[in-house]
Amino acid sequence: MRMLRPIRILWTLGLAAVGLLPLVGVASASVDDVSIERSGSIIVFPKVIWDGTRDTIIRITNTSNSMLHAHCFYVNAAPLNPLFPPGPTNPPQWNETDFDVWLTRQQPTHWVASLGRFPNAISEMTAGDNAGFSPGLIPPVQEGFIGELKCIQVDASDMPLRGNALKGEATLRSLSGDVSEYNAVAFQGNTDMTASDPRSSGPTDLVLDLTPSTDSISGDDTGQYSACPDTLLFDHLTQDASDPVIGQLGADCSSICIAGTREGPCESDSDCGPGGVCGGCPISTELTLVPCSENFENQLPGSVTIQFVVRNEFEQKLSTSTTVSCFLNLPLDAIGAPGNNPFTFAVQGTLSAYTRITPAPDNGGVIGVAEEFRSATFEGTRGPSAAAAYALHTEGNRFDAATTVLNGNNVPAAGVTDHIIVPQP
Amino acid sequence: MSTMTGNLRRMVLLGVVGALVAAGAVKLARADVASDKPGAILIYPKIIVDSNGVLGPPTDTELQLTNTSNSVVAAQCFLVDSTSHCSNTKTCTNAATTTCSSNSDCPADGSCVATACTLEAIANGAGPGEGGCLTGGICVGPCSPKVAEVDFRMTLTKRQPISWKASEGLLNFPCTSQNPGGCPSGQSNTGSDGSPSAIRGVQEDPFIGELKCIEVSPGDFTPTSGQDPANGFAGDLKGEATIVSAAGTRVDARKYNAVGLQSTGANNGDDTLLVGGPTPEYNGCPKVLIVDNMFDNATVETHGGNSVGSVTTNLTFVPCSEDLATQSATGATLQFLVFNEFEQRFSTSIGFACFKEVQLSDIDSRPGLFGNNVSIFNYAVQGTLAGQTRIRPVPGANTDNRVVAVSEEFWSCSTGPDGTCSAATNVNLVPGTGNGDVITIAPE
Repeated sequence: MRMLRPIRILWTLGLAAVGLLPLVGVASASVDDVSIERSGSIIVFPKVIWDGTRDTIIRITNTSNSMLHAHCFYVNAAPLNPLFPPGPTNPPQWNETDFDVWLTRQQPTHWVASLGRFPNAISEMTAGDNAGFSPGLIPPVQEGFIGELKCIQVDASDMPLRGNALKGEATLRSLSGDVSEYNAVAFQGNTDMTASDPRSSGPTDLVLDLTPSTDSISGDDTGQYSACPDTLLFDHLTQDASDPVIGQLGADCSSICIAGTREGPCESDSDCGPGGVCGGCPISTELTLVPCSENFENQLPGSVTIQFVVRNEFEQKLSTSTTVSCFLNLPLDAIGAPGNNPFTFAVQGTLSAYTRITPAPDNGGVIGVAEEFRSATFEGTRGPSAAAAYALHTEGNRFDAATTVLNGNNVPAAGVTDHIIVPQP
Repeated sequence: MSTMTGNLRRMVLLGVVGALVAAGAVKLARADVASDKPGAILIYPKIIVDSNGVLGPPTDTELQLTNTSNSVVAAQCFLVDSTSHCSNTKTCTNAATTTCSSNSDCPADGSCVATACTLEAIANGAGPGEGGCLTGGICVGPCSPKVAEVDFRMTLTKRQPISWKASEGLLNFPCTSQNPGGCPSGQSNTGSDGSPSAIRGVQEDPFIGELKCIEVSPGDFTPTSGQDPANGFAGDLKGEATIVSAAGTRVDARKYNAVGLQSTGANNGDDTLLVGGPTPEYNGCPKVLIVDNMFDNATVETHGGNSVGSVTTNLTFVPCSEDLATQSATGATLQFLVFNEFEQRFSTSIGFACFKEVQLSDIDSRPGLFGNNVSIFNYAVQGTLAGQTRIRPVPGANTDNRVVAVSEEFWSCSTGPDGTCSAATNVNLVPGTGNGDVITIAPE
C-alpha cells in the first residue's frame, strides 16, 4: 500500500498535467483585461446616438495628476440609406471624424453629441452648460448619427501614450426624458513597456496584445494595449417575454400583438397573424457590438463573424451567428436568420437566458454594450419605453489562445491579434 | 468532456496548477474586483422592494444570476435587510398609511408592523406610510440592533441562468426532479445532499438592502474558488439587478452588474472569507472608488438645444467586511474628494454602518432638501455640470473597511412614475493593497 501512494500521486499529477497542457498560456482574469471600471489608455463608447429622438451625453475624466491629451474618433455607422433598415445591401457608412481633447489634472468634462462643445471664454467662466476649462473644440454629430466614439490617450505631439488616465460614461437620453447609462470600455496600456512590440508596424499601429504573457509583470513586456476579450458573456431576458414586474406593480399590461403581421389588442397568438405573439408589457433587448480592430489611417472598418450560443434556464442550447461589419446595433430577434430565433421567449420558453458570444476562427474580437427596454401596454399599443443599459462580461483574451464554437462547445483555436491603426499626426 | 465531481476535479487541477506555477510554466495573473467578469463572490449593493409605493413609486427588483462555467456550481446567498423603521410608529402592511398598535387594527389579512422610513422623507415632512414617522419618532437603522439577514442556497447546472423577483424569490428551480421539462443529461438543481434549491423573497415590504452570493462547493457547500480554467478559477458567478418602477402607464428601469470578487485560488473552505490582505482568498475590495457625476440639480441641454433635463445622483455603499455569523453591523468612514470642470477641489466625509444610500447633496448637508443648494455636490456651488468624485474608505485597525458601491442618476422625465427617470452604473475602482477585509458567514 505504501508503494501505491506515490504512484497514485504521480498518476494523478500526470493525468492532470496532460489535461492541463492545452491550457498553459490560456488567459485568466487579469489586470491586463479590458475593463468598464478602471481607467485606460483607450476608451470606447460603443453606442452613441443622435437621431432626433435620442441624444448622448458623453463624460470623460482625466484620473491622473498630469495634463492629459486624447485623440478621439467619432465613427458614424448609420446605414448608407437612412430610410431603410441596416443589412447586407444597406451597410453602415463608416464615416470617421476626429478631434483632440485636453484635460488638466483630475479634470472631468462633458459634452452632448448633438451640440458638441465650443471654446468660448465668456461662457466657460459663467455657470452653465459650457462652464469649465475648455477641453477643446468638440464637433457636434449630424442628426441621424449612430455609431461609436473612441478616445486614445496621446502625448503633446499626438503620438499614442500609454498613460491609463482616461475613463468615461455615456448617458443616452430620450426626448421624453428617459435615460440609460453605461461605462466606456477601457483598454489598459502597458505603462512600463521597455521592449518593442514585434507585432506592431510602427508607432501609429496600436496592437491589442497586452496579456499576462506579454505584460511587464509576468510576461515578455512586448504587449501594448489590452487584448480584446475572447468571449463576451451576455445575460439577458428572452425577447418579447412579458415583464413579470410591471404588471405586478399595478401598471397597465393588457395584451397586444408583439410580433406577427397584425398590430393592436389580442387574446391569443393566432390573433396576430403568422408568426404572431400576443402578450403584455414585452421586454426587448438591443445588442451593440463594435470590432476591436479598426484602421483609421486607411479608412478600413473592422469585420468580425461571431457565433452565439444561447442557453435557457433548462440549460437547453441553441445557436446562431452574424457578422459585425463596422458596427452592429440590433434587437435580439433581428440577429441571425429569421424564423425560430433563439433569443425569443417563443422559442426558448424561459424568462432568462445566457448567451456566449465568440468570434469565428481567425477573427478578431468585439466589444459592446446591451440595452433593455420595458414598457406598459394599453389601448392596444406600447407605452413609452424605459431603457436600461448594462455592460457585457468578458472571458479570456483573443491574443493568447482564442476559442471557437464547434457543435455548441468551446474548443481551442489559434490566437488572433487586433490592431487599431491611427492616422499619422 | 464529462462532468467530474467538483471535489475530485478541483483537487486534481489545483494540485497540478500549483506544481506548474512553481515550475513557472503557468502564470496566474492577479485579478481584481470587477463587475464585468465572473467572480466567486457576487455583491448586489442595492435591492429595493416597495410594492405599495411607500418610500417612492411602486418598485421591485429583478435579479439575474448565471453559472458561467461548464461545471455544476453552488452558491450560498445572504439577503441583508437594511430598511430603517420608525421608533414610535406602526402601520398596516395592507394599508400603508393606517397607523396601528396590533393586527386587529388592520384590514383583513393585514399585519401591524414597524413603519419603514427614511431620513430624507422625514426631513421633507412625509407622514407615516410615506416614509415618515409620527411626531417625536426617530428613524432607526439600518441594521439596528443587528444585521437582519436571511440566507439560502442553490445548485446551478452547467451555464445555467436564472432570474427572480426580489419580492417573491424563486421556490421552484427549472431543473428539479419535479419539473417535467428536465435538463440535459439529467442535471438537476437539487443539491448533492438532496436539498432543493430555493430563493426566498425579501423579509419585508418595503425593503431596501443588499444581496451577497458566495460560490460554494456543490459537494459540501463550503466556500471554494472557481471551477472554470478559462478565467483562472477566479469564480463562476455573474449577475445583474434591474430596479423597475411602474404606475399606470409609466415605467422606469435602471440596471447594474453585480460586483464580483475574484478568487485567488487559495481557499481553505472555512467560514471566514479573507478578502484582500496578506493571505487573501479573494482579491481585495477597491482602495478608491471613482464616480463621474453630474452635480445635483444641474440642468443639461440635449437634442440640439430642444430639450432640458435636471439631474440628481444617489450613491449606495455596502461594506466589504461583514459578520453574518453574529450579525454584527460593520461600517466605514468615507473620504470624498470632488473636482469640478475647473479642476477646483473640495472634500468632505461621512460615516455609516451596514448600508448607506445617500443623494450627493445630502453627503455634506442635512438629509432632505434643506441645505442642498450649499452642498459641494450641488451645481449651485460648483458652477459646472460635471464632476469627478474620488471616494476613499478610511482603514481600521485590523481591516481596511473598504466598500463597494453603485451609482444612480435621476433625471426629470415626463414618462417616469414619479416624474423622474433613472439610470444606474457601476463605479470605477482603483485597487490597492492593505490589511484586507473579512466576511464571516454562519457555519453550514
